Amino acid sequence: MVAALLMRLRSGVDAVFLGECLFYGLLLAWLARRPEVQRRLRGDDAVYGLIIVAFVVLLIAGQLVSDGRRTYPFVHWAMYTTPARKAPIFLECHGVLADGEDVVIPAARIFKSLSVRLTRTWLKLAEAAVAETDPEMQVESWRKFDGLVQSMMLEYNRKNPGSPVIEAVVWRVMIPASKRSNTEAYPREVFRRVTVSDGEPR
Amino acid sequence: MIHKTSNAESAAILRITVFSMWFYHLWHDPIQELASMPLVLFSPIGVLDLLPSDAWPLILSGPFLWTMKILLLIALLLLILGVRPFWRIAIPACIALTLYQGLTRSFGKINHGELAMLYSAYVLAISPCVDALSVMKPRKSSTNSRYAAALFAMATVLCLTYTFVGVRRFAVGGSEIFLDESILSYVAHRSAEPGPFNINFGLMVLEHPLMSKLLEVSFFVLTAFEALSMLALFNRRFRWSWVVMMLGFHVSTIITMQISFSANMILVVLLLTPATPYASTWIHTLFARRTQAGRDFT
Repeated sequence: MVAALLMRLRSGVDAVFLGECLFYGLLLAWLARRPEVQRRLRGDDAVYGLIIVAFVVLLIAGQLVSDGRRTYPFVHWAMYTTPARKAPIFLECHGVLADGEDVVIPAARIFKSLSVRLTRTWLKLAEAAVAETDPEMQVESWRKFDGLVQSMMLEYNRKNPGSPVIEAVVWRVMIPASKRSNTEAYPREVFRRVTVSDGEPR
Repeated sequence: MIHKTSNAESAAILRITVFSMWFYHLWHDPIQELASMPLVLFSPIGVLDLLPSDAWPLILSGPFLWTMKILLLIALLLLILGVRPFWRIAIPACIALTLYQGLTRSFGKINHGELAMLYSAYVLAISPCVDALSVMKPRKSSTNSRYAAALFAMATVLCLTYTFVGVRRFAVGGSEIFLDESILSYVAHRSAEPGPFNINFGLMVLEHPLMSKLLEVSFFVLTAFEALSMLALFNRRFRWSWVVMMLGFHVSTIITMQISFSANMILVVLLLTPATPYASTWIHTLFARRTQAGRDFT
């Protein structure tokens, strides 16, 4: 946590960081002056109170560092803070079964533990692979993307006995700025095809 | 101030609720499926990075994940029942919960759905919360101020997480985030993409200009409430409006954005409404009456 905070400081102090430091400093000072809080930090409850204060300080430090990948479980909370894309996109996966039938693969429900974390990662991998300019790195990016699609298909096959998925077709779907409720009319294009083969994708 | 009148039953209600929520969550979570995910996508986060990299193929194997799940379920059951020595079970359980939640987040996005529940478990692990509603023999209770301190600490941590969101949105997004229809795009995206609930009610809301405008205004009002969350600990009037606002917000994100913060909703009700004091007083009176009836009988 300390190392992450130092790295954050070294990478440059911006107005947001300074402003938040000031805000949480004032917030802690305000809390410390509350008689209810002061009572808890004295007498029999002092040790317990100090542990809780340390916990709160760690939470605030995690917020200020803003690098949850380093500071977990004390991560930063930044939801919907940046302007959204005007034309958002998402990926939709279809599976071609061995008998020729086409099925929609519910990506967010294939690995229930990961849920939407998986679909966000999936979209990120797709964007990274498309944006990569170094050919070798791009091959690596696509390998990761295809590996994830393979895992999803194998998991789908495991959960759905019968005709297995032999090919995955990933569609890129664009959400229009108007008439959004008609999802059938969304512009879409085939983004990638992945042949599904048995065996461990690891 | 909230939780001024807390007793052993108040802390016990929180213990039972929080660890039951974890039990339910883990019971329905097939974490063993992570063994089928490509290891190349796994990048350990935060404290998980302290473990040697050689350990990950073993940890992310089916047998290990199954074992972890079963042992954690047993530990959670013991915590719900209030088995002592409490902290000797609670602290390893919290470490295991941190690992469990870290594993899923190490495959990609770090979301926040279960974090308030995790922080509540941390606070409970070091709190006197097995002095009532426990299967063990009753023992000398702590002072009521200790129980109040535990509940106040949990409420503080919960409110702080909301403060983080509001303050960061104002600090980074400025006024632009509220004026450029970003929230409409976010709702469209979350509602349209294949999600966990397959409810795209948000898309229907966006079809109505008045509803869209209401969404934009409530986005700003919500952010202001989030930024001021700590006030809810001390001001009763503000607390009630805050609770209504947050519960409304969490319900609306389920139906319009397929984002569920169900654990937060339960914690908001238990920690920031009179639900816990009422329930604990009722339980306390019931037990006292039973004890008295037992004495009268003998």
